[in-house]
Amino acid sequence: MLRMIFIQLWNERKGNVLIFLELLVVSVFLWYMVDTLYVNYKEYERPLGFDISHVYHVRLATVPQSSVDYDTTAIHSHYGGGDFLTLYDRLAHNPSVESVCYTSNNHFHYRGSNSFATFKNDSLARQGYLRHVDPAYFRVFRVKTAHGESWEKLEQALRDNQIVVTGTVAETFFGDAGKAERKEIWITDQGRTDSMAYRIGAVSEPQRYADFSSYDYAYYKPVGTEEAFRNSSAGVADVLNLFIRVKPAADNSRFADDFTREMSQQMRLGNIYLKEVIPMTYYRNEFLRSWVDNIRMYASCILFFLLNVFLGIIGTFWFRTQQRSSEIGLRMAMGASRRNIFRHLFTEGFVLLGIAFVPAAIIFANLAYMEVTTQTEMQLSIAARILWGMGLTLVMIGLMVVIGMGFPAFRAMRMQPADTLHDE
Amino acid sequence: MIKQYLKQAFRLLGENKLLSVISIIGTALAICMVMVIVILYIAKTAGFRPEVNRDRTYYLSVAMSVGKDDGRRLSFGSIGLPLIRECYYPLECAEVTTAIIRDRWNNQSALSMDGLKSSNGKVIQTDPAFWKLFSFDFIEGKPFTEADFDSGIRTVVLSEHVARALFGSERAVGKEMKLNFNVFRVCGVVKDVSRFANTAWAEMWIPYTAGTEYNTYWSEGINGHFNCCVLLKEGVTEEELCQEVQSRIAKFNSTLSDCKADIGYQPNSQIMEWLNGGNEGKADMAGAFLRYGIILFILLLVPAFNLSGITLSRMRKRIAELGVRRAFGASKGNIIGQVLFENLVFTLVGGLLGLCFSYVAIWLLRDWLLVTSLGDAGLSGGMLNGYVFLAAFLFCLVMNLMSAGIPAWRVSQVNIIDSINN
Repeated sequence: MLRMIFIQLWNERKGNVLIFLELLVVSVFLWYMVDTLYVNYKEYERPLGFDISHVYHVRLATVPQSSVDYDTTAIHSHYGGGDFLTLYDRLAHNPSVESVCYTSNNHFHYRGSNSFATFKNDSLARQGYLRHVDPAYFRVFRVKTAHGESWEKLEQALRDNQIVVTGTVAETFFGDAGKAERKEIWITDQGRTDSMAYRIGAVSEPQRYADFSSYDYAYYKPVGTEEAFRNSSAGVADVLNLFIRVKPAADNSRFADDFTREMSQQMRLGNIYLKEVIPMTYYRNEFLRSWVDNIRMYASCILFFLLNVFLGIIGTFWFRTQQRSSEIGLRMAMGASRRNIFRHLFTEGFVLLGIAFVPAAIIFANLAYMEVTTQTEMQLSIAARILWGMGLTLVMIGLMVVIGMGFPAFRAMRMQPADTLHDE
Repeated sequence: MIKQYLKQAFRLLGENKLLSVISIIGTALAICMVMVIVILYIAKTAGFRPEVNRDRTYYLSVAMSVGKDDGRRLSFGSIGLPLIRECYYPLECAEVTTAIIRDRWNNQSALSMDGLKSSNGKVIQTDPAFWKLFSFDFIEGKPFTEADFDSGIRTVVLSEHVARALFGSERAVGKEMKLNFNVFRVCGVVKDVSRFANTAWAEMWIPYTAGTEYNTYWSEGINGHFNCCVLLKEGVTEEELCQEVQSRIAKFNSTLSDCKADIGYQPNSQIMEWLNGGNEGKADMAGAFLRYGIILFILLLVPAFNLSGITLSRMRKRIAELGVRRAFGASKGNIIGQVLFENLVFTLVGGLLGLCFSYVAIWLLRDWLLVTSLGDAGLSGGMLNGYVFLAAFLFCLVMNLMSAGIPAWRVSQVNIIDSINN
């Protein structure tokens, strides 16, 4: 049967060339897009190293001095930092709040403002991030240790005025997380000319900047001692970021509004007041928008291509079964069952797809070789990548061929041999 | 003649309904995809109120400060007022230079004087030049004046929905309100602005001298809270502007002791700002346009294969008719013209449908397509100008040529005797 199909396809090559070209082009681009989505998914799927679910940003602000509402009796230049800590405690005592932390402006997940740092030893230098945080940061953002334990050890390291490095730093500079603890590491902070030696108190799990980025180098340092903090000015409310982790049972879509209303009285202290409560997912969505848009665009293109394959197949074969009705009638008269006819047409469709897919695979291999396909720093199994890309592409186009062939093939199957042969 | 072609084309449409439906849906889908891309591109790059001067606007939104001797990175981000005063305000290539402070993330709270009505919104702090670069539709009042600006008088321009929220009507000029606990006097109310105008968009506009952030800067005045936009003077080229900016920066740098400013490849044109605004490094314009080009080409190519197939089979049936026309003296060109014209009728029907689809698609997918970094935006009438229709028509022509070109050429090549024999 296959031999006959090949002969038939060859004899109708003029009519087949367009659908062949379409399948070829669609296969290449579909594969490219599926491959990109696969790589993106693999990147997305890796653990982030922090968890923002149920975390909210609590935005404080200060009443400006020029305002008539400015409370001159509360002179913050002496104890503004103290007021901030009082508010911190008030948040912590709220029954729906699980934990509270603050970070400096150089660490706000998904907001893209950073301090850089260079990690060094004798032979290596790596660019990464400096992050000033409150020890409770690890608790609020659920950062685990490199060994997968919960946050306590990380928190303790910062309380002891040591630094915490991410697993990526430990692995690159010391081989693994266990060896890095209690060791010293040289770091140059952004803008500084000199390096400092820091003692590593603990190693956190590897962290990534965002859902589609790779693991990066970073270290955590306390914002300052509580003492120094108490003596700082009210400006702290503007430069520090407060975060709360909400108990899952208390979290819902109205939480931010309800919490703002509930707490605004309590959170007014001196000239500091509560301005807004914003879920971390807001920042995440903002930050990831361009990636997500890209993925959506690929998805719509895939849909568009598949629809076109469907239209192409149905158009070509509808016409063809009409033209070939006498042939089909003859075959039926010679004893072919209806199912045979049906199967024959289907095989024809798939052989056509197969013939188009071979050059498509060669073109795609060349694209991959020229590195036109999506590049990633991740160690992905090439076999798995090819299998997924090729498999999904074939399945999707195959499905369209089945649906597209279905109508004409069904019609051919229902033909009455006597009627069709009548035309001869 | 054209009437005859039109008649024939519509007769053909009715003849094989399935094929007609397939070809029209195929065209419509392709034009729909293409037009969604075109409409969004227009919304992001073409001029519309209030950003009417986008074609002449150049952006200086970020600066990097580095160590003067070793070039080590100190800070990267928005610009400080000293640099703007020294380098950007005096630009001779610029008709207008405006400096803007906008807090991308945070809303500010506006309150009525009695504290009963409130409206949280985004605020832009800027200078009087802002109102020259952008043309807002004032419902009432006017922008804050030079005098207000110079003496830091707290005046505010509101967008109509804020005015309505605070005062119950858009007639609010002269009334007072509180913005972050300070009392401001309303000097103007403007129509709400589309969020696609991502430089001019805000809900309240105040002179930056009435705020506190304008005087905060670091790295010897290189970095601060500002973004800058300049309007290129008529008759001045982009290169001249770049040169002047660079030479002024160099002069400014020579006055600093420890740092120097590096503004990379800025100023950015509207398209460059859209592609790469706020990032380090050069916008890969050629790469971006190549990418768009490939996407558009493929979006037209794949359906063109289908349509070619359909046109070809349709023409094969009519080969005898075309042979007769040739025998009576029609040239090959006439035949090609006829096939292309008939097909254009189908393409235009499909194209019109596709354009409608694209509006439906944009409306259905508005939560995705119309969300800017500022929130969700609607398309405004100004963006749906003649260009959209022109572009749709052009793409239809391309589509037509791609889908009927080869069949038309092929039928015109058939020998007259053979075709009549058919």
